[in-house]
Amino acid sequence: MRLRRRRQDESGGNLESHLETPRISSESEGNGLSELPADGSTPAAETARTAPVIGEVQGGLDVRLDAHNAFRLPSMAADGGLLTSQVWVAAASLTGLGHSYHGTTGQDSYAFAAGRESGMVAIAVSDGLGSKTHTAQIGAVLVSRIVCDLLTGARIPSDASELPAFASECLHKANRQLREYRSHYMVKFADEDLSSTLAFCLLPETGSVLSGEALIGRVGDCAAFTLSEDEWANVFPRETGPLNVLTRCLPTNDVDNALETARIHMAGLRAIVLTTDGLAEDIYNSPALRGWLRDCWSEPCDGFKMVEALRYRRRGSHDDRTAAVVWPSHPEVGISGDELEKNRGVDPPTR
Amino acid sequence: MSDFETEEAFPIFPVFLLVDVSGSMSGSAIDAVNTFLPELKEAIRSDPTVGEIARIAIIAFGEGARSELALCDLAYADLPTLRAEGAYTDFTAAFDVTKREIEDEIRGLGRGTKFHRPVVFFISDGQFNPPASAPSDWNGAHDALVDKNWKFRPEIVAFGFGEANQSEIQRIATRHAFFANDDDPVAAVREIMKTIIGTIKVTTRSLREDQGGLIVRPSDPNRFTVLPVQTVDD
Repeated sequence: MRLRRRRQDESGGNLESHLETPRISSESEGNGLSELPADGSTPAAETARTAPVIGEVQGGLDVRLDAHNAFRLPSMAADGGLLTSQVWVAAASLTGLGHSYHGTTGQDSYAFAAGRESGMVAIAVSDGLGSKTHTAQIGAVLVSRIVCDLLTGARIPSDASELPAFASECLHKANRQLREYRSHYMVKFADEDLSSTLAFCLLPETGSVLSGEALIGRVGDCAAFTLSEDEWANVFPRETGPLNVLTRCLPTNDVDNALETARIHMAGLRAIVLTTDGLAEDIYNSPALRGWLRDCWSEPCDGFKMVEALRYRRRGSHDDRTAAVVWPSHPEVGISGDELEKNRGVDPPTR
Repeated sequence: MSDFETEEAFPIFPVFLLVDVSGSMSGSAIDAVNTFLPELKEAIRSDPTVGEIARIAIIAFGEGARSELALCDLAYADLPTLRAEGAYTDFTAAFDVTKREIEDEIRGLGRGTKFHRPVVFFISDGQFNPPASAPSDWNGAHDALVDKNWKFRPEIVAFGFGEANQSEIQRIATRHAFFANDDDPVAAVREIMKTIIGTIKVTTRSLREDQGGLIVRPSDPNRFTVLPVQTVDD
Protein backbone atom coordinates (compact mmCIF):
# COMPACT_ATOMS: atom_id res chain seq x y z
CA MET A 1 0.00 0.00 0.00
CA ARG A 2 1.18 3.43 -0.74
CA LEU A 3 1.05 6.19 1.84
CA ARG A 4 -0.60 9.40 0.82
CA ARG A 5 1.89 11.43 -1.16
CA ARG A 6 3.03 14.53 0.61
CA ARG A 7 2.50 17.55 -1.55
CA GLN A 8 5.84 18.95 -2.59
CA ASP A 9 6.77 22.56 -2.90
CA GLU A 10 7.55 23.58 -6.43
CA SER A 11 10.11 26.05 -5.31
CA GLY A 12 12.27 25.65 -8.36
CA GLY A 13 15.53 27.48 -8.19
CA ASN A 14 18.84 25.95 -7.44
CA LEU A 15 17.93 23.03 -5.27
CA GLU A 16 21.46 21.68 -5.39
CA SER A 17 22.76 24.59 -3.39
CA HIS A 18 23.68 23.84 0.14
CA LEU A 19 22.55 27.34 0.94
CA GLU A 20 18.90 26.64 0.12
CA THR A 21 16.57 27.80 2.84
CA PRO A 22 15.28 24.75 4.66
CA ARG A 23 11.59 24.27 4.79
CA ILE A 24 10.98 23.76 8.44
CA SER A 25 7.40 23.15 9.25
CA SER A 26 5.22 21.12 11.47
CA GLU A 27 2.56 19.16 9.69
CA SER A 28 -0.61 18.35 11.49
CA GLU A 29 -2.86 16.44 9.16
CA GLY A 30 -5.97 15.96 11.20
CA ASN A 31 -7.13 12.40 10.90
CA GLY A 32 -4.67 11.83 8.07
CA LEU A 33 -7.23 10.34 5.69
CA SER A 34 -6.76 10.96 1.99
CA GLU A 35 -9.09 10.80 -0.96
CA LEU A 36 -9.61 7.25 -2.17
CA PRO A 37 -7.62 6.44 -5.29
CA ALA A 38 -9.52 5.85 -8.51
CA ASP A 39 -8.56 2.16 -8.65
CA GLY A 40 -10.66 1.51 -5.57
CA SER A 41 -7.76 0.43 -3.36
CA THR A 42 -7.64 1.79 0.14
CA PRO A 43 -4.54 3.75 0.95
CA ALA A 44 -2.88 3.49 4.31
CA ALA A 45 -3.08 6.89 5.96
CA GLU A 46 -0.03 8.23 7.72
CA THR A 47 -0.66 9.10 11.32
CA ALA A 48 -0.64 12.81 12.01
CA ARG A 49 2.65 14.10 13.31
CA THR A 50 3.93 17.22 14.96
CA ALA A 51 7.58 16.52 14.20
CA PRO A 52 9.05 18.89 11.63
CA VAL A 53 9.87 18.40 7.96
CA ILE A 54 13.34 19.74 7.23
CA GLY A 55 14.49 20.45 3.70
CA GLU A 56 12.99 19.41 0.40
CA VAL A 57 11.74 15.84 0.69
CA GLN A 58 10.37 13.48 -1.92
CA GLY A 59 7.07 11.71 -1.56
CA GLY A 60 6.24 8.17 -2.51
CA LEU A 61 7.97 6.41 0.34
CA ASP A 62 6.17 3.11 0.66
CA VAL A 63 6.34 1.17 3.89
CA ARG A 64 7.12 -2.49 3.43
CA LEU A 65 7.69 -5.00 6.21
CA ASP A 66 10.42 -7.60 6.06
CA ALA A 67 8.09 -10.49 5.41
CA HIS A 68 10.63 -13.29 5.07
CA ASN A 69 12.77 -12.61 8.09
CA ALA A 70 11.40 -14.06 11.33
CA PHE A 71 14.22 -12.27 13.13
CA ARG A 72 13.11 -8.83 11.99
CA LEU A 73 12.78 -6.13 14.59
CA PRO A 74 9.61 -4.13 15.26
CA SER A 75 9.37 -1.00 13.14
CA MET A 76 9.25 1.00 16.31
CA ALA A 77 10.03 0.40 19.94
CA ALA A 78 9.83 2.83 22.81
CA ASP A 79 10.07 3.15 26.55
CA GLY A 80 9.99 5.93 29.11
CA GLY A 81 9.81 6.00 32.86
CA LEU A 82 11.59 5.78 36.15
CA LEU A 83 14.36 3.21 36.01
CA THR A 84 15.27 3.75 39.62
CA SER A 85 13.85 6.09 42.20
CA GLN A 86 16.15 8.82 40.99
CA VAL A 87 16.79 8.15 37.34
CA TRP A 88 14.33 8.60 34.46
CA VAL A 89 15.17 7.06 31.12
CA ALA A 90 13.42 7.14 27.79
CA ALA A 91 14.34 5.50 24.53
CA ALA A 92 12.93 4.86 21.09
CA SER A 93 14.04 3.09 17.98
CA LEU A 94 12.42 3.66 14.58
CA THR A 95 13.17 1.69 11.43
CA GLY A 96 14.55 4.06 8.84
CA LEU A 97 12.79 4.97 5.63
CA GLY A 98 15.55 3.27 3.68
CA HIS A 99 14.84 -0.09 5.25
CA SER A 100 11.08 0.45 5.11
CA TYR A 101 11.16 1.37 1.45
CA HIS A 102 13.16 -1.71 0.53
CA GLY A 103 11.35 -4.07 2.87
CA THR A 104 14.24 -4.97 5.14
CA THR A 105 14.34 -4.96 8.90
CA GLY A 106 15.68 -2.10 10.94
CA GLN A 107 18.94 -2.91 12.65
CA ASP A 108 19.09 -0.64 15.69
CA SER A 109 18.40 -1.53 19.25
CA TYR A 110 18.60 -0.08 22.74
CA ALA A 111 18.73 -1.42 26.27
CA PHE A 112 18.96 -0.23 29.84
CA ALA A 113 19.42 -1.82 33.21
CA ALA A 114 19.91 -0.96 36.86
CA GLY A 115 21.96 -3.10 39.16
CA ARG A 116 20.12 -4.47 42.16
CA GLU A 117 23.15 -4.17 44.36
CA SER A 118 25.65 -2.16 42.41
CA GLY A 119 23.67 1.06 42.47
CA MET A 120 24.61 1.65 38.87
CA VAL A 121 22.48 2.39 35.84
CA ALA A 122 23.45 1.58 32.27
CA ILE A 123 21.85 2.54 28.98
CA ALA A 124 23.02 1.57 25.52
CA VAL A 125 22.19 1.97 21.84
CA SER A 126 23.47 -0.24 19.05
CA ASP A 127 23.43 -0.38 15.27
CA GLY A 128 23.85 -3.53 13.21
CA LEU A 129 25.99 -3.55 10.10
CA GLY A 130 23.98 -2.58 7.07
CA SER A 131 25.44 -5.18 4.72
CA LYS A 132 24.23 -8.04 6.95
CA THR A 133 20.58 -7.44 6.22
CA HIS A 134 19.22 -10.59 7.87
CA THR A 135 21.38 -11.02 10.94
CA ALA A 136 23.08 -7.86 12.13
CA GLN A 137 20.01 -6.80 14.08
CA ILE A 138 20.49 -9.90 16.20
CA GLY A 139 23.96 -8.63 17.04
CA ALA A 140 22.59 -5.20 17.84
CA VAL A 141 19.96 -6.62 20.19
CA LEU A 142 22.46 -8.88 21.91
CA VAL A 143 25.33 -6.46 22.35
CA SER A 144 23.25 -3.67 23.90
CA ARG A 145 21.70 -6.03 26.41
CA ILE A 146 24.84 -7.96 27.23
CA VAL A 147 26.77 -4.75 27.84
CA CYS A 148 24.09 -3.26 30.09
CA ASP A 149 23.90 -6.50 32.03
CA LEU A 150 27.65 -6.69 32.53
CA LEU A 151 28.04 -3.03 33.44
CA THR A 152 25.41 -3.18 36.18
CA GLY A 153 25.86 -6.69 37.46
CA ALA A 154 29.49 -6.71 38.40
CA ARG A 155 31.32 -5.26 41.33
CA ILE A 156 31.72 -1.61 40.57
CA PRO A 157 34.99 0.22 41.12
CA SER A 158 35.43 2.13 44.31
CA ASP A 159 36.95 5.08 42.51
CA ALA A 160 35.72 6.88 39.42
CA SER A 161 39.18 6.76 37.87
CA GLU A 162 38.79 3.00 37.55
CA LEU A 163 35.61 3.24 35.47
CA PRO A 164 37.30 3.15 32.04
CA ALA A 165 39.20 -0.01 32.92
CA PHE A 166 36.02 -1.50 34.35
CA ALA A 167 34.15 -0.72 31.13
CA SER A 168 36.93 -2.22 29.06
CA GLU A 169 36.73 -5.40 31.08
CA CYS A 170 32.99 -5.57 30.50
CA LEU A 171 33.41 -4.99 26.76
CA HIS A 172 35.94 -7.79 26.52
CA LYS A 173 33.43 -10.10 28.21
CA ALA A 174 30.64 -8.91 25.95
CA ASN A 175 32.80 -9.54 22.91
CA ARG A 176 33.44 -13.10 24.05
CA GLN A 177 29.78 -13.72 24.82
CA LEU A 178 28.77 -12.51 21.38
CA ARG A 179 31.15 -14.96 19.77
CA GLU A 180 30.01 -17.76 22.05
CA TYR A 181 26.39 -17.06 21.17
CA ARG A 182 27.23 -17.15 17.48
CA SER A 183 29.20 -20.38 17.77
CA HIS A 184 26.39 -22.11 19.71
CA TYR A 185 23.26 -20.81 18.03
CA MET A 186 24.36 -19.53 14.63
CA VAL A 187 26.85 -22.17 13.58
CA LYS A 188 26.34 -21.58 9.89
CA PHE A 189 27.22 -17.92 10.22
CA ALA A 190 30.38 -15.97 10.90
CA ASP A 191 31.09 -13.56 13.73
CA GLU A 192 30.83 -10.66 11.35
CA ASP A 193 27.19 -11.50 10.71
CA LEU A 194 26.49 -10.09 14.17
CA SER A 195 28.57 -6.94 13.60
CA SER A 196 27.25 -3.95 15.47
CA THR A 197 28.36 -0.59 16.73
CA LEU A 198 27.54 0.53 20.24
CA ALA A 199 27.36 3.46 22.62
CA PHE A 200 26.72 3.14 26.33
CA CYS A 201 26.47 5.24 29.45
CA LEU A 202 27.15 4.09 32.99
CA LEU A 203 26.13 6.31 35.83
CA PRO A 204 25.67 5.92 39.55
CA GLU A 205 22.56 6.45 41.53
CA THR A 206 22.62 9.41 43.84
CA GLY A 207 24.46 8.67 46.99
CA SER A 208 26.94 6.36 45.37
CA VAL A 209 30.59 6.98 46.02
CA LEU A 210 30.80 7.66 42.29
CA SER A 211 28.10 10.32 42.37
CA GLY A 212 28.38 13.19 40.00
CA GLU A 213 30.25 11.41 37.26
CA ALA A 214 29.20 9.21 34.37
CA LEU A 215 31.20 7.05 32.03
CA ILE A 216 30.39 7.12 28.32
CA GLY A 217 31.77 4.56 25.93
CA ARG A 218 31.41 3.57 22.32
CA VAL A 219 32.59 1.21 19.64
CA GLY A 220 32.20 2.59 16.12
CA ASP A 221 30.13 5.55 15.04
CA CYS A 222 27.30 5.71 17.54
CA ALA A 223 27.34 9.05 19.33
CA ALA A 224 26.87 10.51 22.79
CA PHE A 225 25.69 14.01 23.57
CA THR A 226 24.94 16.05 26.63
CA LEU A 227 22.15 18.57 26.95
CA SER A 228 22.46 21.51 29.26
CA GLU A 229 19.88 24.30 29.55
CA ASP A 230 20.15 25.34 25.92
CA GLU A 231 23.21 23.71 24.54
CA TRP A 232 24.21 20.48 22.84
CA ALA A 233 27.70 19.09 23.33
CA ASN A 234 29.24 15.95 21.90
CA VAL A 235 31.20 13.61 24.10
CA PHE A 236 33.32 12.10 21.31
CA PRO A 237 34.70 13.81 18.22
CA ARG A 238 32.43 13.70 15.26
CA GLU A 239 33.17 10.89 12.83
CA THR A 240 34.90 12.09 9.70
CA GLY A 241 35.20 10.52 6.31
CA PRO A 242 32.55 9.17 3.98
CA LEU A 243 29.20 8.23 5.46
CA ASN A 244 28.90 4.66 4.32
CA VAL A 245 32.23 3.32 5.48
CA LEU A 246 32.30 1.66 8.85
CA THR A 247 35.48 1.43 10.87
CA ARG A 248 34.90 -0.38 14.19
CA CYS A 249 32.31 -2.80 15.49
CA LEU A 250 31.79 -5.79 17.74
CA PRO A 251 32.66 -8.65 17.65
CA THR A 252 36.24 -7.67 17.04
CA ASN A 253 39.73 -9.05 17.45
CA ASP A 254 40.88 -5.84 19.08
CA VAL A 255 38.49 -4.54 21.73
CA ASP A 256 41.08 -2.21 23.23
CA ASN A 257 41.55 -0.26 20.03
CA ALA A 258 37.86 -0.35 19.16
CA LEU A 259 36.61 1.03 22.49
CA GLU A 260 36.56 4.74 23.29
CA THR A 261 35.58 6.00 26.74
CA ALA A 262 35.09 9.37 28.37
CA ARG A 263 34.24 10.44 31.90
CA ILE A 264 31.85 13.34 32.24
CA HIS A 265 30.73 15.39 35.16
CA MET A 266 26.98 15.63 35.36
CA ALA A 267 26.76 18.93 37.17
CA GLY A 268 24.85 21.37 34.99
CA LEU A 269 23.54 18.71 32.63
CA ARG A 270 19.86 18.11 32.11
CA ALA A 271 20.25 14.94 30.08
CA ILE A 272 22.66 12.54 28.47
CA VAL A 273 21.70 11.36 24.98
CA LEU A 274 22.99 8.31 23.13
CA THR A 275 22.19 7.91 19.45
CA THR A 276 22.98 5.66 16.54
CA ASP A 277 24.90 7.23 13.68
CA GLY A 278 22.05 8.25 11.38
CA LEU A 279 20.40 10.32 14.07
CA ALA A 280 23.78 11.65 15.17
CA GLU A 281 24.50 12.95 11.69
CA ASP A 282 21.15 14.71 11.61
CA ILE A 283 21.86 16.30 14.98
CA TYR A 284 25.25 17.53 13.80
CA ASN A 285 23.92 18.80 10.49
CA SER A 286 20.61 20.34 11.46
CA PRO A 287 20.12 23.30 13.76
CA ALA A 288 16.38 22.90 13.28
CA LEU A 289 16.48 19.33 14.51
CA ARG A 290 18.63 20.20 17.49
CA GLY A 291 16.06 22.77 18.52
CA TRP A 292 13.20 20.32 18.11
CA LEU A 293 14.90 17.56 20.11
CA ARG A 294 16.09 19.94 22.77
CA ASP A 295 12.48 20.98 23.30
CA CYS A 296 11.29 17.34 23.33
CA TRP A 297 13.91 16.32 25.85
CA SER A 298 13.98 19.41 28.03
CA GLU A 299 12.35 17.31 30.70
CA PRO A 300 11.70 13.59 31.26
CA CYS A 301 9.23 12.15 28.78
CA ASP A 302 7.41 8.93 28.02
CA GLY A 303 7.79 6.48 25.17
CA PHE A 304 5.10 8.11 23.04
CA LYS A 305 6.93 11.41 23.18
CA MET A 306 10.16 9.66 22.23
CA VAL A 307 8.58 8.18 19.11
CA GLU A 308 7.18 11.55 18.12
CA ALA A 309 10.53 13.18 18.71
CA LEU A 310 12.14 10.87 16.15
CA ARG A 311 9.38 11.11 13.54
CA TYR A 312 10.85 14.17 11.87
CA ARG A 313 11.32 14.03 8.13
CA ARG A 314 14.61 15.39 6.78
CA ARG A 315 15.99 15.29 3.28
CA GLY A 316 18.41 12.43 2.86
CA SER A 317 17.77 11.08 6.34
CA HIS A 318 16.71 7.50 5.76
CA ASP A 319 18.73 5.57 8.30
CA ASP A 320 17.32 3.84 11.37
CA ARG A 321 16.99 6.23 14.30
CA THR A 322 17.57 5.27 17.89
CA ALA A 323 18.01 7.45 20.92
CA ALA A 324 18.28 6.67 24.60
CA VAL A 325 18.05 9.59 27.00
CA VAL A 326 18.75 9.61 30.69
CA TRP A 327 17.79 12.38 33.08
CA PRO A 328 19.77 11.73 36.19
CA SER A 329 18.52 13.16 39.42
CA HIS A 330 21.36 14.82 41.20
CA PRO A 331 21.51 17.71 43.61
CA GLU A 332 23.55 19.64 41.06
CA VAL A 333 21.44 18.68 38.02
CA GLY A 334 18.36 20.58 36.88
CA ILE A 335 15.90 17.75 37.33
CA SER A 336 15.05 17.58 41.01
CA GLY A 337 13.59 14.70 42.93
CA ASP A 338 10.37 16.74 43.33
CA GLU A 339 9.95 17.01 39.56
CA LEU A 340 10.38 13.28 39.21
CA GLU A 341 8.03 12.67 42.11
CA LYS A 342 5.17 14.55 40.48
CA ASN A 343 5.54 12.36 37.39
CA ARG A 344 4.86 9.20 39.31
CA GLY A 345 1.56 7.47 39.05
CA VAL A 346 -0.45 5.12 36.90
CA ASP A 347 -0.82 7.41 33.92
CA PRO A 348 2.18 8.57 31.91
CA PRO A 349 2.93 12.25 32.18
CA THR A 350 1.26 14.54 29.68
CA ARG A 351 3.65 16.64 27.67
CA MET B 1 35.70 24.71 15.48
CA SER B 2 32.35 23.25 16.51
CA ASP B 3 31.19 19.91 15.17
CA PHE B 4 27.66 21.28 14.96
CA GLU B 5 26.65 22.96 11.74
CA THR B 6 24.98 26.34 12.04
CA GLU B 7 23.18 25.92 8.73
CA GLU B 8 21.33 22.91 7.41
CA ALA B 9 23.75 20.51 5.71
CA PHE B 10 22.31 17.58 3.80
CA PRO B 11 24.18 14.36 2.88
CA ILE B 12 25.00 13.57 -0.72
CA PHE B 13 26.12 10.55 -2.72
CA PRO B 14 28.38 11.80 -5.55
CA VAL B 15 28.33 9.73 -8.73
CA PHE B 16 30.51 10.47 -11.73
CA LEU B 17 29.88 8.89 -15.12
CA LEU B 18 33.16 8.82 -17.04
CA VAL B 19 32.13 8.05 -20.59
CA ASP B 20 34.26 7.32 -23.63
CA VAL B 21 33.12 9.58 -26.48
CA SER B 22 35.93 8.82 -28.88
CA GLY B 23 35.11 8.20 -32.51
CA SER B 24 34.58 4.47 -32.00
CA MET B 25 31.53 5.27 -29.90
CA SER B 26 29.86 7.04 -32.80
CA GLY B 27 26.45 5.87 -33.88
CA SER B 28 24.45 3.34 -31.92
CA ALA B 29 26.76 3.18 -28.90
CA ILE B 30 26.64 6.88 -28.06
CA ASP B 31 22.95 6.94 -28.97
CA ALA B 32 22.38 4.22 -26.39
CA VAL B 33 24.19 6.28 -23.77
CA ASN B 34 22.08 9.31 -24.58
CA THR B 35 18.94 7.20 -24.41
CA PHE B 36 19.96 5.95 -20.99
CA LEU B 37 20.41 9.32 -19.37
CA PRO B 38 16.69 10.12 -19.09
CA GLU B 39 16.16 6.61 -17.71
CA LEU B 40 18.80 7.26 -15.09
CA LYS B 41 17.08 10.51 -14.23
CA GLU B 42 13.74 8.79 -13.80
CA ALA B 43 15.20 5.91 -11.79
CA ILE B 44 16.80 8.28 -9.34
CA ARG B 45 13.76 10.48 -9.11
CA SER B 46 11.42 7.54 -8.50
CA ASP B 47 13.37 6.19 -5.52
CA PRO B 48 13.24 8.79 -2.76
CA THR B 49 15.92 7.06 -0.75
CA VAL B 50 18.29 7.73 -3.65
CA GLY B 51 16.76 10.83 -5.17
CA GLU B 52 17.21 12.86 -2.03
CA ILE B 53 20.96 12.24 -1.86
CA ALA B 54 22.34 11.13 -5.25
CA ARG B 55 24.15 13.81 -7.22
CA ILE B 56 25.32 12.98 -10.72
CA ALA B 57 28.08 14.40 -12.89
CA ILE B 58 29.07 13.40 -16.40
CA ILE B 59 32.59 13.61 -17.77
CA ALA B 60 33.29 12.75 -21.38
CA PHE B 61 36.70 11.73 -22.67
CA GLY B 62 38.22 11.04 -26.03
CA GLU B 63 41.09 13.10 -27.34
CA GLY B 64 40.86 15.12 -24.13
CA ALA B 65 38.32 15.20 -21.33
CA ARG B 66 35.66 17.67 -20.31
CA SER B 67 32.81 18.03 -17.88
CA GLU B 68 29.48 17.63 -19.66
CA LEU B 69 27.34 17.98 -16.55
CA ALA B 70 28.44 19.36 -13.19
CA LEU B 71 27.46 17.48 -10.04
CA CYS B 72 23.77 18.09 -9.58
CA ASP B 73 20.38 16.76 -8.64
CA LEU B 74 19.48 15.04 -11.88
CA ALA B 75 15.78 15.54 -11.29
CA TYR B 76 16.22 19.22 -12.05
CA ALA B 77 19.01 19.07 -14.63
CA ASP B 78 18.94 19.59 -18.35
CA LEU B 79 20.59 16.45 -19.64
CA PRO B 80 23.48 16.88 -22.06
CA THR B 81 23.62 15.13 -25.41
CA LEU B 82 26.96 13.40 -25.70
CA ARG B 83 28.67 13.42 -29.08
CA ALA B 84 31.36 11.00 -30.15
CA GLU B 85 34.24 12.22 -32.26
CA GLY B 86 37.99 12.12 -32.67
CA ALA B 87 40.59 9.48 -33.28
CA TYR B 88 42.06 9.20 -29.80
CA THR B 89 41.17 7.76 -26.41
CA ASP B 90 43.13 9.50 -23.70
CA PHE B 91 42.76 7.85 -20.29
CA THR B 92 45.26 10.25 -18.73
CA ALA B 93 43.10 13.27 -19.47
CA ALA B 94 40.05 11.34 -18.27
CA PHE B 95 41.58 10.63 -14.87
CA ASP B 96 43.12 14.09 -14.48
CA VAL B 97 39.84 15.84 -15.18
CA THR B 98 37.88 13.41 -13.02
CA LYS B 99 40.16 14.01 -10.06
CA ARG B 100 39.79 17.73 -10.44
CA GLU B 101 36.04 17.59 -10.86
CA ILE B 102 35.50 15.33 -7.87
CA GLU B 103 37.30 17.62 -5.49
CA ASP B 104 36.00 20.87 -6.95
CA GLU B 105 32.39 19.71 -7.05
CA ILE B 106 32.28 18.22 -3.58
CA ARG B 107 34.06 21.18 -2.04
CA GLY B 108 31.64 23.42 -3.90
CA LEU B 109 28.77 21.97 -1.91
CA GLY B 110 30.05 23.72 1.17
CA ARG B 111 31.98 23.06 4.32
CA GLY B 112 30.42 20.42 6.51
CA THR B 113 28.63 18.60 3.71
CA LYS B 114 28.72 14.92 4.47
CA PHE B 115 29.18 12.67 1.53
CA HIS B 116 29.27 9.00 0.73
CA ARG B 117 32.48 7.84 -0.90
CA PRO B 118 32.29 9.01 -4.54
CA VAL B 119 31.78 6.41 -7.22
CA VAL B 120 33.11 6.71 -10.76
CA PHE B 121 31.53 4.54 -13.42
CA PHE B 122 34.10 4.23 -16.23
CA ILE B 123 32.68 3.14 -19.59
CA SER B 124 34.79 2.52 -22.66
CA ASP B 125 34.68 0.55 -25.88
CA GLY B 126 38.31 1.11 -26.79
CA GLN B 127 41.91 0.94 -25.75
CA PHE B 128 44.21 3.63 -24.51
CA ASN B 129 45.26 5.62 -27.55
CA PRO B 130 46.55 9.07 -26.64
CA PRO B 131 47.38 11.87 -29.03
CA ALA B 132 51.07 12.54 -29.56
CA SER B 133 50.96 15.55 -27.28
CA ALA B 134 49.64 13.59 -24.30
CA PRO B 135 51.53 11.34 -21.84
CA SER B 136 52.05 7.85 -23.13
CA ASP B 137 51.32 6.25 -19.78
CA TRP B 138 48.03 6.74 -17.90
CA ASN B 139 49.02 4.93 -14.74
CA GLY B 140 50.29 8.02 -12.92
CA ALA B 141 47.05 9.90 -13.40
CA HIS B 142 45.09 6.85 -12.31
CA ASP B 143 47.24 6.34 -9.22
CA ALA B 144 46.65 9.94 -8.19
CA LEU B 145 42.90 9.47 -8.57
CA VAL B 146 42.79 6.39 -6.32
CA ASP B 147 45.49 7.47 -3.87
CA LYS B 148 44.42 6.26 -0.41
CA ASN B 149 45.70 9.47 1.12
CA TRP B 150 43.33 11.61 -0.91
CA LYS B 151 40.13 12.13 1.10
CA PHE B 152 37.93 12.32 -2.00
CA ARG B 153 39.28 9.18 -3.62
CA PRO B 154 36.48 7.34 -5.41
CA GLU B 155 35.58 3.78 -6.01
CA ILE B 156 35.93 3.11 -9.72
CA VAL B 157 33.67 0.56 -11.35
CA ALA B 158 35.00 -0.10 -14.84
CA PHE B 159 32.97 -1.39 -17.75
CA GLY B 160 34.45 -2.39 -21.07
CA PHE B 161 32.88 -3.57 -24.27
CA GLY B 162 33.68 -3.78 -27.95
CA GLU B 163 37.39 -3.16 -28.61
CA ALA B 164 38.27 -2.30 -25.03
CA ASN B 165 41.28 -4.01 -23.52
CA GLN B 166 40.33 -6.30 -20.68
CA SER B 167 43.58 -5.88 -18.79
CA GLU B 168 43.20 -2.10 -18.93
CA ILE B 169 39.63 -2.36 -17.62
CA GLN B 170 40.90 -4.53 -14.77
CA ARG B 171 43.65 -2.07 -13.94
CA ILE B 172 41.32 0.92 -13.96
CA ALA B 173 38.78 -0.56 -11.54
CA THR B 174 39.33 -0.41 -7.80
CA ARG B 175 37.26 -3.48 -6.96
CA HIS B 176 34.72 -4.21 -9.69
CA ALA B 177 35.46 -4.65 -13.38
CA PHE B 178 33.16 -6.04 -16.02
CA PHE B 179 33.36 -6.79 -19.70
CA ALA B 180 30.11 -6.94 -21.58
CA ASN B 181 29.65 -10.14 -23.53
CA ASP B 182 27.31 -8.59 -26.08
CA ASP B 183 28.81 -7.90 -29.49
CA ASP B 184 25.98 -5.49 -30.10
CA PRO B 185 27.11 -2.15 -28.61
CA VAL B 186 23.54 -1.06 -27.94
CA ALA B 187 22.84 -4.16 -25.88
CA ALA B 188 26.17 -3.79 -24.10
CA VAL B 189 25.54 -0.17 -23.20
CA ARG B 190 22.00 -0.95 -22.05
CA GLU B 191 23.18 -3.66 -19.65
CA ILE B 192 25.97 -1.45 -18.36
CA MET B 193 23.54 1.35 -17.66
CA LYS B 194 21.07 -0.95 -15.92
CA THR B 195 23.86 -2.18 -13.71
CA ILE B 196 24.84 1.39 -12.90
CA ILE B 197 21.29 2.25 -11.91
CA GLY B 198 21.06 -0.78 -9.63
CA THR B 199 24.39 -0.02 -8.04
CA ILE B 200 23.46 3.56 -7.26
CA LYS B 201 20.26 2.38 -5.62
CA VAL B 202 21.85 0.00 -3.15
CA THR B 203 25.11 1.74 -2.39
CA THR B 204 23.74 4.18 0.15
CA ARG B 205 23.61 1.53 2.83
CA SER B 206 26.31 1.21 5.46
CA LEU B 207 28.99 -1.25 4.52
CA ARG B 208 32.31 -2.35 5.87
CA GLU B 209 35.54 -0.82 4.68
CA ASP B 210 36.60 -4.04 3.03
CA GLN B 211 33.70 -3.81 0.65
CA GLY B 212 34.50 -0.25 -0.24
CA GLY B 213 31.00 0.99 0.52
CA LEU B 214 29.77 -0.41 -2.77
CA ILE B 215 27.63 -3.30 -3.94
CA VAL B 216 27.70 -4.00 -7.65
CA ARG B 217 25.50 -6.69 -9.11
CA PRO B 218 25.23 -6.92 -12.88
CA SER B 219 21.68 -6.56 -14.09
CA ASP B 220 22.13 -9.84 -15.94
CA PRO B 221 25.24 -11.78 -14.88
CA ASN B 222 25.14 -13.79 -18.10
CA ARG B 223 25.82 -10.66 -20.08
CA PHE B 224 29.07 -9.82 -18.30
CA THR B 225 32.42 -11.36 -17.74
CA VAL B 226 33.58 -10.40 -14.30
CA LEU B 227 37.23 -9.42 -14.47
CA PRO B 228 39.26 -10.16 -11.36
CA VAL B 229 40.73 -7.03 -9.83
CA GLN B 230 43.85 -7.10 -7.70
CA THR B 231 44.14 -4.51 -4.93
CA VAL B 232 47.34 -3.27 -3.38
CA ASP B 233 47.47 -3.91 0.36
CA ASP B 234 47.98 -0.94 2.69
